[in-house]
Amino acid sequence: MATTTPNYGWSVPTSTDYVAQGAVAIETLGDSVDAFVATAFNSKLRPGLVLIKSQTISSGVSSVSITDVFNTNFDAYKIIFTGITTGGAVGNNLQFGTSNTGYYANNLSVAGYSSSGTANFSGTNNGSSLALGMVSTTAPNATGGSVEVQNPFAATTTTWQLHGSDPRTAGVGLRIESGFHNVATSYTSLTLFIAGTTYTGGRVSVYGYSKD
Amino acid sequence: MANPLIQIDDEVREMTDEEYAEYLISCDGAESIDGE
Repeated sequence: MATTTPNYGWSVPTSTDYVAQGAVAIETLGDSVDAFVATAFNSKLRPGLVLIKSQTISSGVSSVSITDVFNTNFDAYKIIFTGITTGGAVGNNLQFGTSNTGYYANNLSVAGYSSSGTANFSGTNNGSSLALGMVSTTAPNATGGSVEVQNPFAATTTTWQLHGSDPRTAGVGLRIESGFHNVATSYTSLTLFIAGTTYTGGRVSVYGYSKD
Repeated sequence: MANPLIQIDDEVREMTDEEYAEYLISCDGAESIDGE
């Protein structure tokens, strides 16, 4: 007598069923799984947002390369930074591959948690990296944020939009930035680096937005 | 004096002289964001 799976109720045979009915049982189960995945993935090859790689940052390093994160399956990505800590209060930076030229950006940061908080406008003109900020050494000494990236794998200009925060009560509560990397090269990896000090921890997770 | 450490995925090692030179170029050209 056929039974059903415990979570989704797919029809499966029991151990006492006739072997002769096995092919039909497999077809029924296969159709159930196919229909379920088609619904879950909206009839696409992949779910909407796919975790490509999640990398822990080791203590004591000044540069972190995360390989094989950009590929032909995705045009757009979300890079999430959590709990980034460093040995010194200096800016955190990102590069596509190891490219150290051609970065253009405008950014706004606001320091001070009050209506009189100070807004700072800044920019990068043909800089060496995408400036993430988001680093402090003061308790709770763990900063985070995310960057939306479009077309790092395609051999064309890469664009990005950043949101970041610094948890110090006297720190930067808002940092937003948008910009582009004016180099028409395909990249599969990214690099984080920090000048004059080292990372002491954190995690970087790269997600891809499915396109097919 | 030893070069700084570089991490490539899970591997951590000392930067080669060439990697260190590229790192210094990157640091020099980075936007200055003090203490954010």
